[in-house]
Amino acid sequence: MSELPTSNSEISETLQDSLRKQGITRRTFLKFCTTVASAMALPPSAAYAMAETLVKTKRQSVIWLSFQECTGCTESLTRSHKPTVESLIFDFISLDYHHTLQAAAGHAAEEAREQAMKDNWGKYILIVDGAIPVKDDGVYSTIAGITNLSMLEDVAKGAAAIVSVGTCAAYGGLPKADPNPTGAVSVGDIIKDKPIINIPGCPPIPVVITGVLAHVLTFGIPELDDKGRPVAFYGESIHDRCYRRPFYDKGKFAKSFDDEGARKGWCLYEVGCKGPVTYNACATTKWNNGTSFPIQSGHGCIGCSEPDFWDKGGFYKALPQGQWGSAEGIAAAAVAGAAIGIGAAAMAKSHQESEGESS
Amino acid sequence: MSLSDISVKIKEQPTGMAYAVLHELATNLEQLLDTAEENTIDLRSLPMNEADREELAELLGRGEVDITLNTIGSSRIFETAFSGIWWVTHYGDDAMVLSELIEVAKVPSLIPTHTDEISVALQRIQQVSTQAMMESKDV
Repeated sequence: MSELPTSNSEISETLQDSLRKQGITRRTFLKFCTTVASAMALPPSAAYAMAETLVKTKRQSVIWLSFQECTGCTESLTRSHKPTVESLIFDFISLDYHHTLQAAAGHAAEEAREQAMKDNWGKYILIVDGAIPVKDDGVYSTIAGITNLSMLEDVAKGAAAIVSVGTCAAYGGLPKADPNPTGAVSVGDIIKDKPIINIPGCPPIPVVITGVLAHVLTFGIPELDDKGRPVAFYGESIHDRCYRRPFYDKGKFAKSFDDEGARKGWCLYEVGCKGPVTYNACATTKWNNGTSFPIQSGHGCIGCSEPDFWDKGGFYKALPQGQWGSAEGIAAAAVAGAAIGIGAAAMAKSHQESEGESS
Repeated sequence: MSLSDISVKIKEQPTGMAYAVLHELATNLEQLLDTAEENTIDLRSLPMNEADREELAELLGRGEVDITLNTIGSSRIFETAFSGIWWVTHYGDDAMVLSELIEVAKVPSLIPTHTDEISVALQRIQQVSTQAMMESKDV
């Protein structure tokens, strides 16, 4: 992981210089780009374009603000037993401010943030995790005596783009759950004049965070859906890519977590799985170095990457009757699911073609 | 323990995708021969199951070149029985497959040393050489 830059010359060095100092070879770098391109369903040629572009760029200044959150998003990205491909992203950026990861504390930490803002005004990327409390002028969460609301508004002014990492920053998440005592809101509820990329999830998948950052550094802001999420990772529902989908199509459901259906690995829809209405890459990218994802471990999807997922009626209640629940609804859902799958494939193809042209 | 350690497996049936990939590879090989154009297929972007992958591996076979790259996990690159068609698998630290590609090229793109790194290597070897000469004079 990169240390805080100690001088302007260190900030202004190219990524190529930086990689050389750290003993990271071009082959390692190309492997990183290939992995990211594959995860984002970009054409293989995009990996080479990404590698060529990235090495010539200056290390991108990144300011990471953590507000009303649990640090799970940072943990997701950093807490692996060994260095992973995902964590290599820290060698490619200049992480100028991050409460949890930086060595500096107190006034020195805030000075580092102010200096980074001054040196890179209009160019830095602002990453936010956590919701922002706005009730009572935002007094419920402060850093160095500054409210989260005030700090966000201040830092966002000089940002080239904002990345909201985690459901709290993207949609308000858990802090916003009813009765929302602190008046928590998302980044997008406050900042209206900057491009915002949402990477929801509680927490988000590490390679999704890395992939989006690498895309921003090379090709710019990726194609987003109507909720501000990158289509490459959030273009299809958990349900559409779930390996238990064939059981759903055949109408075979677990009725409880200890019945025959559960033991046989049937669809978890009737025990509350929110896969049909949740868009994320868990079913394909998976967790813990690709080991598994909740449904594979026998628990339904709780829909953690969707807005207001805490207030949608309970994790163990089947989705509302009439929408998916009746036999007719299930049959309709199967058809709709297939249609969504085709639509997403077409969208992904169009996305790939446009990336191919740009590369 | 990982999922691959569980001995009970679901037997998947091949879907015919391997033959579609084979057809595309034939076109790519023709382009390599005619115009030196190189191509890459990302196997993870295709709707292939494990049986399809095994069928494709069987159809392509193994050639005489086998390369291992050790960086952030390992990478295995081998030439198939069809010259110019390379099977590239990148692994993470826990032997998890990060990406799997088939490259149609004279040499896989990851193998040639980059010019910048040759330049750095030249500087380093000159330094080592000079230092060795000075030390030998001291003796």
